[in-house]
Amino acid sequence: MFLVTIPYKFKLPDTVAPKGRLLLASALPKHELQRRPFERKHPHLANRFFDPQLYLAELEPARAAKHCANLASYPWFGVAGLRDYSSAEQRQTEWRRESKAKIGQLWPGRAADTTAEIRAAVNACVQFQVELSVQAILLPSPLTRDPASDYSREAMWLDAGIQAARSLAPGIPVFATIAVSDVCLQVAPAPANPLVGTILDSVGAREVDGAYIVVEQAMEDTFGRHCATVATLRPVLEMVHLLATDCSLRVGVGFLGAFGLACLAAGAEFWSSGWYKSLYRLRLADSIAGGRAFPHYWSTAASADISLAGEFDLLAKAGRLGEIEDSTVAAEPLLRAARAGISSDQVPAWAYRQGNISAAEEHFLLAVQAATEELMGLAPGYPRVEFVEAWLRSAERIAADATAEIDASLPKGKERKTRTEHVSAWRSAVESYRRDHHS
Amino acid sequence: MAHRVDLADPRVLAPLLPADVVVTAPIAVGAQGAVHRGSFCGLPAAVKVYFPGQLQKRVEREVEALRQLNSRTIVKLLWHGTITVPGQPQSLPLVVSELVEGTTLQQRLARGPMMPPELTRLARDVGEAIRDLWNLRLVHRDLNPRNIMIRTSGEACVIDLGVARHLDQSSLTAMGLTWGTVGYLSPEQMTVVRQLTCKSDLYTLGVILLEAALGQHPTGGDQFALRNTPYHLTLPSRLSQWAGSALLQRLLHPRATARPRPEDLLAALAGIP
Repeated sequence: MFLVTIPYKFKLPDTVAPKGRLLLASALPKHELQRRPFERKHPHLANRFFDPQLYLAELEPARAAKHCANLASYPWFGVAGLRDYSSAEQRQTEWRRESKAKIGQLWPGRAADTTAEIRAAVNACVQFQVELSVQAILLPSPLTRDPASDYSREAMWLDAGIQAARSLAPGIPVFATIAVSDVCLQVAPAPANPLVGTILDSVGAREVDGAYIVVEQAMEDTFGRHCATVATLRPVLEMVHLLATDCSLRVGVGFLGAFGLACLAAGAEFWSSGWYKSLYRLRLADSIAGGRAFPHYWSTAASADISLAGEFDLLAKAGRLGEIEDSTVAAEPLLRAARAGISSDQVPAWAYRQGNISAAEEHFLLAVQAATEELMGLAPGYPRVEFVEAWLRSAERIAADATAEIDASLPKGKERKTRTEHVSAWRSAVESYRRDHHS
Repeated sequence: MAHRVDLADPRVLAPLLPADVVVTAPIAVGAQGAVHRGSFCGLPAAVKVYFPGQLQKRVEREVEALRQLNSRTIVKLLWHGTITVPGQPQSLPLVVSELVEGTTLQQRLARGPMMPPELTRLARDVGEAIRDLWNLRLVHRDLNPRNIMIRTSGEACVIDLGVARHLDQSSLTAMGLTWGTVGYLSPEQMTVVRQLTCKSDLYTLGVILLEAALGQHPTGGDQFALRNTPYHLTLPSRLSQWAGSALLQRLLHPRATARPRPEDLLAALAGIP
């Protein structure tokens, strides 16, 4: 299942009908989220999950004041001194301005660590999700950043969450959140990584229905949209596989872009993503607010975003459109123009302009939704893994040909905007996983 | 080690005890202390006095663990305190618990291997103890045939929680050391710096069941041989007569996640004679 994650707007294009939505605490302050109409206006929101994002507790307000202010409106971040929004007293813009101005002083920069604080935070978080009528409670967890961690702090949050869910949310499935930095995953190969073993043991031994995995990609370069490190991706597949098969848990993954498809093949039940880079991946070092984005063309066939700053046109001219195209209603005007030799800049919805991303976003959502459905149509286990590996093998070849084509045409000194390094990493991670678990 | 001999002698110990605590005969003397048969407020009791130099924290853990528990298959705490021993600068901990009449599992196995119904009962009783501990997020970490009693009724009972660790307590383990008994450690317990779960105790239960079925430790107490033998794939042929052998293989899986949770173990055992 693909869960769409779009930070602020709830309305989706009519063509996009995802199976559900993952709401993020960092996207909207509590009072705004509570006021939003859900399934009455937006049917896909009937199947909603809420990520409390406690793993962002160490975010730096200087880099992401808006997001910290949003997060601070939720009681599990333990921010004291921030005024609750009241429509009788102020406008929302005033609340935002005031909160952003104060957040640098008020933001604790860490998750609670005493038993009493944790219990209070977790109770508030579970209660909030119950009131939001979520499909499953995602229990809050701090981020695991220390490779030598024994996971006891996270386990305390988890146990407090299980206890809270038992009393406040009986009958609602409960997911443990596994929020881990790639630093921890890269210290040792997946099957032998002791921290991964500890995390899986700690979650698998407890009374939860599922696990929601979020990986902070601290080690990834600033410019890439996709995680391109096998040493990060392979342990993710290991975690998904063992939680789903050994522990019979429902598993979800977030912030890994379309690598979520590989996670589905390894046994995940859902993956979530949005179009923005910050939703493709999670990197606390970045300001997650980001800037206004430029459009890209997502090619499932190449497993990459093709830059519309001339590179898409270049590939079309070179006769490579057939290799990279994903036919969706949103991309149809672009593809039609390309076939006729017309530049993408002549297609208003796809012109390379800052903020002009509606069509690109719609296309991405439609393409990955279709890919998800195709994958889930296969029998679980080896058929899905084989399918994903074959897709990525083919994507690796297509991406290599496309980048060679672009590189050959670029003027000296000009850097290619289409990034495809991640494709080999994805293929390699899936291949290694298949060798270890499906040979 | 004169103090050990003295404290193992009920005649020496008796005058040092509070009025409600009576000792009548020694049961066992170990490295940590001496256990005596006796009574507390008239009830039959096991009286354990810890030798000097034993970690105070370790004793406190046992007491705290026992105090929280109400389990059918874990010995019940009756009283705890300290005694002053002449010549000792510090008082010594004293733990008084329910007296479990019977034999240790070690003594039982000296008479020969267990038959399938006994194995099932042992698995269920110790599995229940592990579940009850885990419900309080306690991990025993040192289950072995010496601290499992087989009551005269045939029921198994866990009697020593000295190294049980609660999740929010700091570890007593120093780098390079781990609590537990060699030959019964789970693979993850051997990695030392690690938060253990009930799955570790379940692995140890698997080793104990294997020993009970064979009448001897499967690798003669060799921890490395134990780790290197894939019992999760193949069990000794003697185990084929026990309907719980597939479950035993899962308990002995080197990967903690592949072992059942205690409640799953107990549910599966319900259908095994």
